[in-house]
Amino acid sequence: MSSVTIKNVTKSFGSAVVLDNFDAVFADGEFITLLGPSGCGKTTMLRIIAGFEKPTSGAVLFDDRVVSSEKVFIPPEKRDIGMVFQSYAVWPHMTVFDNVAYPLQIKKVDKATIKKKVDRVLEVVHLTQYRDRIPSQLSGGQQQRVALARALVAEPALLLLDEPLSNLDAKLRESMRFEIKEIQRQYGITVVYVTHDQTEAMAMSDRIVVINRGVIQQVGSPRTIYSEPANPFIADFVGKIDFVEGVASEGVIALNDCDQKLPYKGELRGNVIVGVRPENIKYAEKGKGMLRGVVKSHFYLGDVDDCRVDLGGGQELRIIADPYESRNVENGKQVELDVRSFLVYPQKPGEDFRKILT
Amino acid sequence: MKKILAIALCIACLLCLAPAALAVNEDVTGEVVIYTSMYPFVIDMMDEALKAEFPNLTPGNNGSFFFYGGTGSLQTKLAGEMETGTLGCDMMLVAEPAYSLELKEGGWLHAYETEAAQNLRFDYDKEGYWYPVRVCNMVLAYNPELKTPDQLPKTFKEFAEDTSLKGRISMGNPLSSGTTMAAVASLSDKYGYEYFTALGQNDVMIESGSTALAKLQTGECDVIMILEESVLKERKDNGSKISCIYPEDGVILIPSTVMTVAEEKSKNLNIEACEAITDFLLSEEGQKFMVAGYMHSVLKGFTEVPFDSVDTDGLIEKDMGVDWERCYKQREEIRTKFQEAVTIKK
Amino acid sequence: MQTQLQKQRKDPAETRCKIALLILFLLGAALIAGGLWGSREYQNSGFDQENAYHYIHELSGKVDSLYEKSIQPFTAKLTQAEQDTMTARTIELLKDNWSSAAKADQSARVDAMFAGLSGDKLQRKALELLSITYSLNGPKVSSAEKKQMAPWSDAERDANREALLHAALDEAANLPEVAAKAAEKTGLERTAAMMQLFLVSVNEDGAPLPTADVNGLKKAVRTAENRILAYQMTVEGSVSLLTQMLVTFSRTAILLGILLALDIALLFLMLYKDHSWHLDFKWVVIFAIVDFMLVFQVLPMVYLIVKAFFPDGSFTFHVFERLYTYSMNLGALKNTLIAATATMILGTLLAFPLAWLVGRTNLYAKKFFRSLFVLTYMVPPYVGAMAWLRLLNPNVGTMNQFFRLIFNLGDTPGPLNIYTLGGLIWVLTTFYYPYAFITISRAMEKMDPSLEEASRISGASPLGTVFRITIPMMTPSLIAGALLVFVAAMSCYGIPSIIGAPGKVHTVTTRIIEYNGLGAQGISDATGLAVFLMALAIIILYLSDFVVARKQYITVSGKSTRPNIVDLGRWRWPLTILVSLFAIIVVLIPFATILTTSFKIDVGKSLFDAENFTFSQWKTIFSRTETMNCLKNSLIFGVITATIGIVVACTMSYLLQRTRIRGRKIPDFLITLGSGTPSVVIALGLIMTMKGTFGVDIYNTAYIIIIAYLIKYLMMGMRTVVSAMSQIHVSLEECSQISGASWTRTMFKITGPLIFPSIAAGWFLIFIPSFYELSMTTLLYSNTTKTIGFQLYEYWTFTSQPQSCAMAFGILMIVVVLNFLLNRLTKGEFSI
Repeated sequence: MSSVTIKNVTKSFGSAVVLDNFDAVFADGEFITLLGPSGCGKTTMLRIIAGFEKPTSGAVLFDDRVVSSEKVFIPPEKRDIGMVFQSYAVWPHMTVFDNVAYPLQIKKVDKATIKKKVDRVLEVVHLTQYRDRIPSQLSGGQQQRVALARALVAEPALLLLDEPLSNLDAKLRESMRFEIKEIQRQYGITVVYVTHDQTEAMAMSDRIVVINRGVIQQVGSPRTIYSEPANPFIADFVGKIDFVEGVASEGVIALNDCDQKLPYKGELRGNVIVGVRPENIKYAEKGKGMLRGVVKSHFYLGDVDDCRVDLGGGQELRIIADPYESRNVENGKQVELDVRSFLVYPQKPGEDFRKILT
Repeated sequence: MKKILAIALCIACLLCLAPAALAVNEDVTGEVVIYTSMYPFVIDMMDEALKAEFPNLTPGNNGSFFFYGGTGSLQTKLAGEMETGTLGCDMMLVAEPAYSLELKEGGWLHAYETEAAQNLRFDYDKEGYWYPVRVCNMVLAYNPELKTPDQLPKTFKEFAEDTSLKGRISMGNPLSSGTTMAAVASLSDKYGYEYFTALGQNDVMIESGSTALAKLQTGECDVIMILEESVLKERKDNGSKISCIYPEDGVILIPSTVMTVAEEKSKNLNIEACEAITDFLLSEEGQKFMVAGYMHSVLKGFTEVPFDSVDTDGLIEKDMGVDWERCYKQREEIRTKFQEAVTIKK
Repeated sequence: MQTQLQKQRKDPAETRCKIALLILFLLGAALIAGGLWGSREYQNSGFDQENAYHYIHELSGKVDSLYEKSIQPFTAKLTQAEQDTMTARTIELLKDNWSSAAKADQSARVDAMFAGLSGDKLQRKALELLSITYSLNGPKVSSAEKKQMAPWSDAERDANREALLHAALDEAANLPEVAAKAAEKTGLERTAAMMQLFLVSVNEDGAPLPTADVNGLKKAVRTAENRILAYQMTVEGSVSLLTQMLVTFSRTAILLGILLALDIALLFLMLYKDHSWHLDFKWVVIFAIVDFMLVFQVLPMVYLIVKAFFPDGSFTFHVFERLYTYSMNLGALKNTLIAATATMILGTLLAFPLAWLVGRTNLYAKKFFRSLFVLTYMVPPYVGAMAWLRLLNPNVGTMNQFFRLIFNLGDTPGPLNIYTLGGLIWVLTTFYYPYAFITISRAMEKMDPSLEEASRISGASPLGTVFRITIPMMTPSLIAGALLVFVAAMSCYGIPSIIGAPGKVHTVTTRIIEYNGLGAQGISDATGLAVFLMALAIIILYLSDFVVARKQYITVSGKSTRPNIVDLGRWRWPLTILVSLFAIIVVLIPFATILTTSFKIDVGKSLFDAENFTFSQWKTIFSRTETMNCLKNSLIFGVITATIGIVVACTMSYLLQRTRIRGRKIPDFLITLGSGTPSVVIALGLIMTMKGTFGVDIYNTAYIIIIAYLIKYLMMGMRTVVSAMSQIHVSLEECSQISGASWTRTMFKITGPLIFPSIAAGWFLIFIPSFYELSMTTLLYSNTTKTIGFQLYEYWTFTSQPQSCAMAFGILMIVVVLNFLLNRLTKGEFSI
């Protein structure tokens, strides 16, 4: 079990900068997720940690051992890591048992011990009855678990997972999330997990590193990331949100184009971007609401009601509410809204916040 | 350059003989195809000459009278054609009398008795089935820039028996080269099959003439058994210094024959033209081309010799001679004995 | 009730289809019947060639028209008495001419022909018979005479002809000038001469009947006896158009009939199984290919086998006994097996690490090495043999001299001797390892790199990963590559003939060629040996398909991942040097030798000797029209072969991968077999079967050469296209189908463009070997179809070494340039 320190790692391929001054520390036993859209550099970072890529500059340390720097490079096979690949990389010419036993065979562990350890880990991933099958006889999920077992059998200090669930169907994904998290807790192992699926990240991680275009956007616990996103990108990437432009002044933000206001206790002044999460809006009684609008579209989803409310002047907000509360809501109806909480960001001149995503 | 000279020679000859020749040979019509193993440049010359001599005769093979191939390839081709009952040619200028005997026996040839036969200084078929039209000469050759004659054999016998030459001698393959076949037949006649054994023990290499010549140049071989014409050509074309040794126990003169295919089995059923061409080839004019092709003439008293060679009559005196009947009838036996002695590893 | 309705509503398309099939089947049967009848007619006729009927038919009409237009008007002017005389004379002439030609009295026959005829009919028949007799067999009219007749005006011509006719009837009559030579003749001879002149003067060119037809008939009916029959048939007009076609092409008709009937029967079966009665263009293409392979590949091979076992018509092992107990042949067999096996092992052992180093590590100058190692594939192997001869002959080999110098060995021969089995294996290896190299490289590039990364992360070193993961996963490709090398080495002729023969190392291929030059019995002996090679090839290919097809491990990664590059660390320089050394020894030195030799006059002297350096060899090559012709031929043959080949390859790969037709592997197997069959065997088989015996006569044409190349090299292109198509998901094509596109459109608009780079590569892989092919061309060439490979062989055998070296290097340059162009065309995606 070890901590991972990434010090100012930059990686470029030719003139393309894929990682820009990546700096973070993952504590021992933590479940860290690298979250970001496709192409943001998260897989590259993972591969640098694994040793399949070398950083252009900067260093990587396990505990206080330098594994990757300008002067030192320890190859992957010597780093004591377990890794699960997106394509599982289960060897088709070997049985499940042989696949999982492989890392131990490399370490020249004796046969009896190998058998014991492999059987144990196969039990953990629930694959005991398949131990003599070959991969072509297994389903995707089962192959995934073989990969997991193989990564764990040598009891490595660090476990890396590269989008391991993206090839599975929704139900399986959910159950595997749970299993992986369980295993991590059982083994107490440090896990670096890469995904673009924010639900996964939220469900499993101790901390999340949000990355965009090679730059760390924010590091924090799921709760922090979700409720206190550091910039509009994160706010938009993690969770649902609507943005409205406005002008902030003492105690109030005047929303553009729709002639409405929101009470504001913050210190920003001038042009701002207001972000409202749908679950933070409630229907208000007539006359008591902060905002007024007309219902534009209305989807009854069984457990919630999903509505779009037009505030006027092209500004819209989305509200996800309790069906009981919105039983009287229909398209075209005038409603009043209360905003429980919202996020405010300064709007940089010349920047169109709508273009934050890559 | 030499092509132009040759053509000039042709035209000069023709002009001398023009009036009489033209009148007769205008009547020779139809198409003719001749299979031959003469060098392509000789073929070019002959085409011109024949076209001039027989203006109404049509070349039967895409503008040329001849179809060229190595002796071995032509014999294979003919063997295949014989299976179908008709040959693809009307005449053949290829290989030695043993082959002619074989074809004669098979009923493939047409008999033509010509007066020109009286002028021949070599044997010919008395019934007119084949005539020699040019003469090859099997000799030894060496590279004077690397070795001197006194270091080298003076006879065919020494060639095989001198063990200091082991692994440094070369010759053709009697299975694919008719002339080599004739040569080994003659040598086995003179010295018995022990000659083959000696060759085998001397590790003689079996390969084509040009390969052997190159080995002389590089020094890989010291002396080779080869046709005189190959050496002469090399000397003339490339100014090579490679020289012939005319073995004292006898050179081996190997005539190459002209044969006409029996009418029903020929390609164009044009016997008249074939006979006229045969006469032309056996005339002085025709013989000039043979000599230009580095071979000796078959006519009595023809003094011209190929480039750098020696007097033909002198060679005839030293000729070891070949028993053509034996060469043909015992071909299998000679071949087998040769193979077993020479080409099989001990 | 419902079911009754369903029964009634039979699909009209289905009925149409079944009717069409039935019609075609009947057509096939008709062809067979017609062909058989025609064949029997021909055999009963006694003519030498079937096309006799063709000429008879042609001449029939012309003889009639000749009589009506040019003879009858003249004879009509005669008095009745004169006409009778003329008829009688004509019959006499016929008897005389035919008797002397047949060397036996033919009077009875003549009389029989005219029995029952009289008057005009008799005259007509007699004169027609005479005109055709004289066209083929008459007294000679000299060219002087023909020259005299040529400038006549119509009136002059008519007047002269009348005079000649009278002169034929009456010896006292005045002779026109043109008959001056015949003036001394008397009696029947004179009449004959006059009649001949009369007939010949019909046209300006002196040919009453078209010379082409006359000559054709002459060659088709050579014996006098049968010629008379031919005259009779011509005049009586007893050969109709249909008869003529059925007889002339009887064997072809039978062949086509059999193929058609077979195809329809099979098609019926397939459609029946599939329950889809829909005739698509693809069936035409598929069956065309199958038929092609049947006729040009299976037939010759079967013929060879039959000939070997039934040399005189009765089954016997005698031929085999004789051949295989002969110690020289046994030795050749042994050598072939040993050499092929050793080459296979060595070649694969070399190819794998090279492919790995060049494809998966950070070796310096990878791209350069990759192109270099593939270079030897582009050169005819015998060229390499020539070079190694120069380098390693025991007496004065350049390399040997070098070794002697370094190791202070004095002047003894050696240390290395190329004229041994070992030498043969060495040269074979250096020339055939690229087959394995290419196969393995390609497979390596396609392997999912994460499989190796998983091994690394599990603790295995890069080398350990290679042994535990890479090699086991690549086993099918390794085997495939190895077997390719084996088959190539076993079928090679050029190298053993140059290197083996002088050292008394014989192989089956050299023995076959030697036997081939020995006449008829030799050919059947050659066949007996060839059968051995064929059997071996069949076994190996079946094995390789069986083994390889079962376990395909190469997982094609969907994403465009770069293969994981292994860092060689401190081994980088040493390994690069090692690989360079290998490249120098195996590739550069031989090629350099060839190049330098091409500039020499005397092979033994140094290149740097001013007198010895010359451009003349190169000049000669470019100036000789023959060489340019050969180059043209080679290019044309190569292009045609490659183009047809790639079309067939595409169709076959479609058949294999997109259909469920049973037996679809059979054409594939045949194609593979073709490539494994030694070239000499293919050529031999074709020679024996394609001279018309089975209805196809393409001997001595360009077609037989192209077909030989196709059979031998088709597989190269096919494997490339097959593997490319396997990566295209079928849904892409299904989508096109749903949108309404026909099969052909889908192929051209969807699949084609997607696999285009592979198509280009496959084309090239067929083109190169066809371009410089030697073994088959030496047996199949004719005057107009000489190729560049054959020229090279002739140069090597009959001309000087430097010349052939210049030619060889020229060939190499052409191929390299073409490869470069291809590289550009497909943007680096595909070249070899």
